[in-house]
Amino acid sequence: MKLKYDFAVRNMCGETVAIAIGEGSRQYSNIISLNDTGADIFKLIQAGKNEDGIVTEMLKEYDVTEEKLRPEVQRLIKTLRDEGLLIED
Amino acid sequence: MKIDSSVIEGKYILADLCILIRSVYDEVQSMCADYRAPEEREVDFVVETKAEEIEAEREQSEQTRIEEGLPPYEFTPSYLETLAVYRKIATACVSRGRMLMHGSVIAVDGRAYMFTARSGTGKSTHVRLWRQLFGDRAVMVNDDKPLLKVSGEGVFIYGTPWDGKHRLSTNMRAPLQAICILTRAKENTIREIKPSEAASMLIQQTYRPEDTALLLATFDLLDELSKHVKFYLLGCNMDPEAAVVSSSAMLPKE
Repeated sequence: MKLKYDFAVRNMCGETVAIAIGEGSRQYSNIISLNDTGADIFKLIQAGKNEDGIVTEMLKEYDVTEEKLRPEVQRLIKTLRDEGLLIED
Repeated sequence: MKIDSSVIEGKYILADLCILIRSVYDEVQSMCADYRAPEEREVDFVVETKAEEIEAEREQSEQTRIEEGLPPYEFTPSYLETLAVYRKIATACVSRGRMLMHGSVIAVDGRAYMFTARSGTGKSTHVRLWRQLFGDRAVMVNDDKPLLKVSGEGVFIYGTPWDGKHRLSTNMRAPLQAICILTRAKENTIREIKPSEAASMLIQQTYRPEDTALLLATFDLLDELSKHVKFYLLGCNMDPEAAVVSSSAMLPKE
């Protein structure tokens, strides 16, 4: 699983967002709002991790249970998929 | 203006920057006539068009017409050059704290208000209602593609000759108070929205350079802009009442 375009994660208009850059900025001009956890999940997706990989990675870093974390990861992946931004393996 | 072999050039002031335009055709020069710079003014940057850039504008314009469901149209090379020149100006502006946005801008009592929306939504129509409502108090800054200067002190918006099919603009600048996203509706309603709610539309209506560093700089300018102006979401019809509803929310209270 990987992202179709390059994205920049940055603060904009009072929130953290992902914005397509490079070639993708022509194709996709919506922005994806992210909370703090979402921003970290997004960066792991950018790094090419799948759902399990992201959960494993984040459980190491955060004081959070898998039951709480996994739905968040799934939610962001679903958003990206619905927006047509994911290239599935 | 001097003419040597095939290049025409002229010096103009846009958004407080002095720009030397070297063009193949005269159209862009005569279009900018109201913005001519004084002889002694130092040039900030030069833009010069090439044949392949004019051709690239043709492809882009044809593509846009397809996307908007319009029939094909044979654009003249001299018109396409005006687009190429503005694209270059907009790109060069970003590192100087300016950016190009798509929208219709009117000033009332010296303060500017911008309406933005997808093409064909009725920005210009709505702004015409404002002109009817405010008469002499209103001045058209730019009906299509204004330049904005963004800094920690605030946002100024400028008239430019790229001002839409009705050619409505004034060589002036005004502090930008608010940006209103316009949608069509049966009833006229308006509400103030958070910058984050406006962000997607702002990005879509902002000229976005291809170069990644300049694109990120553009996002920084939008972020700074969002700290200085108010944002509104307007649902409106074509009745004169629409301008009463929008302006009573957007103008300073008496």
